[in-house]
Amino acid sequence: MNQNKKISRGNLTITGSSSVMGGLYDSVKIVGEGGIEGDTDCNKLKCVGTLEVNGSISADKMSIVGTCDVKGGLQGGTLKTSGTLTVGGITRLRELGISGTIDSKDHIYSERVHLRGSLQTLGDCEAEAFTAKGIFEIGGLLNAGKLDIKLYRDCKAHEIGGGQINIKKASLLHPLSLFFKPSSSARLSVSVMEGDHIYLENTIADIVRGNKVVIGLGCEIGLVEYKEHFEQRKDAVVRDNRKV
Amino acid sequence: MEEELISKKDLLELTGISYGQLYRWKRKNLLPEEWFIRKSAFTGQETFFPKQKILDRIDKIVHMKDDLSLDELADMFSPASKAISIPMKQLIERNIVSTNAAKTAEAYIGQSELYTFEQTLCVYILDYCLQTGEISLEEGKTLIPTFLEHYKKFKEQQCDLILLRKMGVSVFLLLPAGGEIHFESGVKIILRVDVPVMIEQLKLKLMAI
Repeated sequence: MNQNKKISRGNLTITGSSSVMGGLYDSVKIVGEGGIEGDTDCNKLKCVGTLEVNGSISADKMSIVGTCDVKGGLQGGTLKTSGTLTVGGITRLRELGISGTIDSKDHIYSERVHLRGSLQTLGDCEAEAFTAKGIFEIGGLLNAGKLDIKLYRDCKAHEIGGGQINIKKASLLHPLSLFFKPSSSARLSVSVMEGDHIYLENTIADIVRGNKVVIGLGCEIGLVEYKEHFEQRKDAVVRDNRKV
Repeated sequence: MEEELISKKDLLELTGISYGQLYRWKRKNLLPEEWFIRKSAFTGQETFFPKQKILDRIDKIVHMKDDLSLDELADMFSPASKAISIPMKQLIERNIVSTNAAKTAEAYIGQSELYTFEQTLCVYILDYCLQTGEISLEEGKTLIPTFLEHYKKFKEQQCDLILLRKMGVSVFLLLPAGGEIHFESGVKIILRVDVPVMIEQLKLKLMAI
């Protein structure tokens, strides 16, 4: 591994339509239609157009404007996508910014996740900070230290766990709302939610467990279990609550 | 091997930690995914943990988190080998392994000055096995090549090392952690070594300089 780093890396540029083998590169730039066969390790990857990777990608900096399909895993520093990205394997990043869509078949780990588009994964999603002003569907556990969600459309997660959980409906006054109009009936559905401080709006959950729990308007909760504090605003349905 | 389980709710109550901490430790890989056992209960789905293991682990985290960062702790608990090499002399001087074990291992590992983490682990386990008094030095000699040859194949998965004996013939085997095994009659499990626990102990000892 260490020896590889000493080998000087070349650049890869595809303009037009072409297919190449994977390997070590400094910068990879795809404008048009590209295909990469095999695992690729690079410092910078930029895709404006279509890219299909039959392998995994490891890159410090990735930016995707068009369509990118990675059959293997994705690993690296920052990833910004305003296009469409599909990942077959595990995604492990420092920073993930999604303005387009990301569709993953496996877990997503990133220190930060900033979602303004759509995120779909069949696995778990773990982040220290997860902010969402978009749509997500998480097949497994959404685990975040700080979770800030503004609901624009229906969102779904099997389970949610973390420290601070804030779920609010999106404000119609936000400048973003002009382009991306929030649906007033947007709901978050989750089976179990657990956290220290929980504030919910427009959420449908079977069980909510936490230290301090505030259930705001538009919620339908089966059972709330709390330790210190529980508050139910009007217009919220909580079938049962229990202090433990 | 039916382990006693503890529900998440009971665990939090018993240890006094919060959901946030539990989830943070999971994110930092201080608590392995395999320990999260999902079962359906009458209140819906609940998560259970192997009681002894999780209590031990949480106790360690709580006591050590003031001195070490969470990342350092994760490194200690991870079954991954550390990228280090240590002079054998130092291991003996610091009482991490006995001279006896080191001498036995030398014949197989060679008299190299520096031992890799995996080799050190092997000697450490040998030492542990000898200390229990359950295995003979002769058996220890088969342990070393077995371990060195096959441990790599588990990659970063957890595994157990087992010693069987039947009619005085001993057999070593490595198998995935916690796996169930059944034998013909007359076979006795002499020793079952939980390799991840050994790694943890060894890393702890190596760190304390």
